[in-house]
Amino acid sequence: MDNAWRKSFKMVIKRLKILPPTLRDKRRYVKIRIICEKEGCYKKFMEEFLRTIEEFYGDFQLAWIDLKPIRNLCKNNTFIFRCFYKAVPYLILALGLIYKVENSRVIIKIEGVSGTLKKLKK
Amino acid sequence: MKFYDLHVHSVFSDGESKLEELAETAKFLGYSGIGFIFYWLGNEENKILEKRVKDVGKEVGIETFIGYEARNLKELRILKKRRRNYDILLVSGGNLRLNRIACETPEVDILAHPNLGRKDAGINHIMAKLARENSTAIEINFSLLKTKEKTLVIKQFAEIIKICTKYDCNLIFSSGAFSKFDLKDPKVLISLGRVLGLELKEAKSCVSLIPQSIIKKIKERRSEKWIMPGVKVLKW
Repeated sequence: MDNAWRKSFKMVIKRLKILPPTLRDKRRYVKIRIICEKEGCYKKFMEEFLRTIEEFYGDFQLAWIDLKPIRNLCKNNTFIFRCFYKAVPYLILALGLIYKVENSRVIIKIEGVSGTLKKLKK
Repeated sequence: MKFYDLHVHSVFSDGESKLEELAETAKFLGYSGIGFIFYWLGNEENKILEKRVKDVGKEVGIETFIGYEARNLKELRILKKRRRNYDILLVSGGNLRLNRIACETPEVDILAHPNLGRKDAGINHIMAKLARENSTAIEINFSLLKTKEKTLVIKQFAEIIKICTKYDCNLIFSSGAFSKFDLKDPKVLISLGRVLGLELKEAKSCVSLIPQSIIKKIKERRSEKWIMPGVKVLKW
């Protein structure tokens, strides 16, 4: 009996119940493609981007932007980021401010912005 | 929606990239047209450059325009006289006197970076009114954000946008690229406008509709029917 109570307690604290849609934060997914001057700068791109966006907006604004890279969908030169729906222009502007990654110049193309990952993959 | 970047420098004008590379990158980024900006060297050079620019446009499959940047009054006078020989006339801003003259001159299409090297916006309400009357577009140059003084540049951009919105003056966004790596996605330029307080429709028109209106004006001016501003030959 005691063990059963413990198990149920663990289940409760493991994950919160999902919020109703009206209370959930609306999100947008931004897909980008980069072209580097020298090959092999893709790995460092994420670090450079996070550094740039933090330097430009600061911690407070960054918390509002609610940025999260979708790492399992980032392949080679394609990256996907998730952000707060009103912060999309802020995210795109920060992407435009990246000129160099590891001394190699880059071209960044915004492939698309979508509310779901499924649509973005198409 | 068609997007245009009307201020791009190539190897022929202090830039690093070739015309072909710039055109290809612009097409990859989603631009429908690109304006190559040169410095005036002479009539013969202009003919060679124009042919080259057209050939590049045909090769890559993108609209290309030839433009000249006047860096001082002397160059502006020369370029004004030869206005029918090229597409875009751009005045390099920064000097208050030159900024004002650019706003007063109907032949000038774009006043580029009026805030260059300044601590203020470089334009005021009087210049904005003049620019509206003479349909001169005021440019916001993204390449200025490359400098270390980002805070000052953003403040200047916000002030330019505020003045131009208030006086209904044409505003244009461009990358001001000196190499193919400086070219920016149109969405980046639109986002800059959005962040600085423009509505989505207004921000989009700065990269699309206003450049299109300039291009329409260029085509009219270069046609054989055109005589002078406001006068052209009509067939009955």
